[in-house]
Amino acid sequence: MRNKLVNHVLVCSITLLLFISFTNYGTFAQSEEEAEQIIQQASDKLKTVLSMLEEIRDINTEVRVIISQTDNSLQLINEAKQLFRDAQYDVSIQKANQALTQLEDIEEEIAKINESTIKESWLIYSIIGVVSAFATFGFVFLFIKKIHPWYKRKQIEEYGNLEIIYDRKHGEK
Amino acid sequence: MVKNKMAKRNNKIDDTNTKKGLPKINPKKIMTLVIVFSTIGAIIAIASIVFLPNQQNGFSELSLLTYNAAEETYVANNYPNQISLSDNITMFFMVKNFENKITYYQLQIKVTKISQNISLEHPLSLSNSNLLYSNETYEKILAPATINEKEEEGEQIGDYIWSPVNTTLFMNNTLAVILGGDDSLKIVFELWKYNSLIEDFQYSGIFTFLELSFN
Repeated sequence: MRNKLVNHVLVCSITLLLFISFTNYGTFAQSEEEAEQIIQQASDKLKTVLSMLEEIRDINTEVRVIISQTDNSLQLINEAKQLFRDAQYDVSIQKANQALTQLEDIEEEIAKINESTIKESWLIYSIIGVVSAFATFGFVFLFIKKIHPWYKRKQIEEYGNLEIIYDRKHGEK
Repeated sequence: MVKNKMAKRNNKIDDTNTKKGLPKINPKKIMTLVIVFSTIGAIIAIASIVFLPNQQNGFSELSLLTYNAAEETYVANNYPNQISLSDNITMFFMVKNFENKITYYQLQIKVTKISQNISLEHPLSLSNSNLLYSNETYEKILAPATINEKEEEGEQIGDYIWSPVNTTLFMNNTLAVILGGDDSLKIVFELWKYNSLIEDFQYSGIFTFLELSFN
């Protein structure tokens, strides 16, 4: 009877241990997969942000701050990659998530800058358009009022000096 | 006949003008010409600004430095000349971005035979060299230098500078395999730049190296 009880306890303990280890392994594998996914997402976002940054022409103080923040995110991603290699998946996830959030904020900021740049461009192009229109009207006016009459006058002057001599046919007087 | 007459008359007028001195200048004509040329110039200038891409023929600078504790400065001399399995070397590298654009750099440190040639066009292949650190260890995104910053000399801090970075150069048995028993080696610092078109790093052709005896 006592032996049976001991055996029963032993079997139960082994089953429990196996269950716990399998659960832990499952969680570990899940964390690994999650860390890999988030690192990949953060790396992709970094590429997007870099492409957006490269399109900015005016690199002012505000943009320089953004570049510094992007670099900070890059360092976080690299730390996450290192932690992933060291199998510290939880900390790796944390770092990658931090980088991802930071990069999403940066993306929004760049979008705002681009929007204001587009507005400024529209303003500049509109001014150029209006000035060009005025210049065109000015030229037309100048041509009609000044150049064309001057040309006509000059033509009349030149032709006025012409002397027309008719060739006389043989035998005519 | 009429045409001939007219041509003769015009020639006569020209001759008299030239004989008298300079031909009569018409201010209206000149003004019109000035306006026409300035407008054409302005249109070309605007079009070139709008449509032509920025000229980005800049460069990057890579320096290898040591720390002078007495003067508390980084200097480009006093380089070490030997390394061993037991003794590490502390070195500093610095990168400056004069590329006229935002640049994402990667520095790769490789150990190779002293006889290995280094090319400006191709990086050292991993079949005849060993990486000292993983690819992501030294990476940095730098802003481009401003016009004023380009004129400054000896600067070591700024958002266009990858400030002197401490790196430990070491040797182990795995790295020593590439030497094949040689008692000297080359540690090469290669600068790579990220290319967004191919979404990967490309060798910039910029490098520096240390020649060390190994025991």
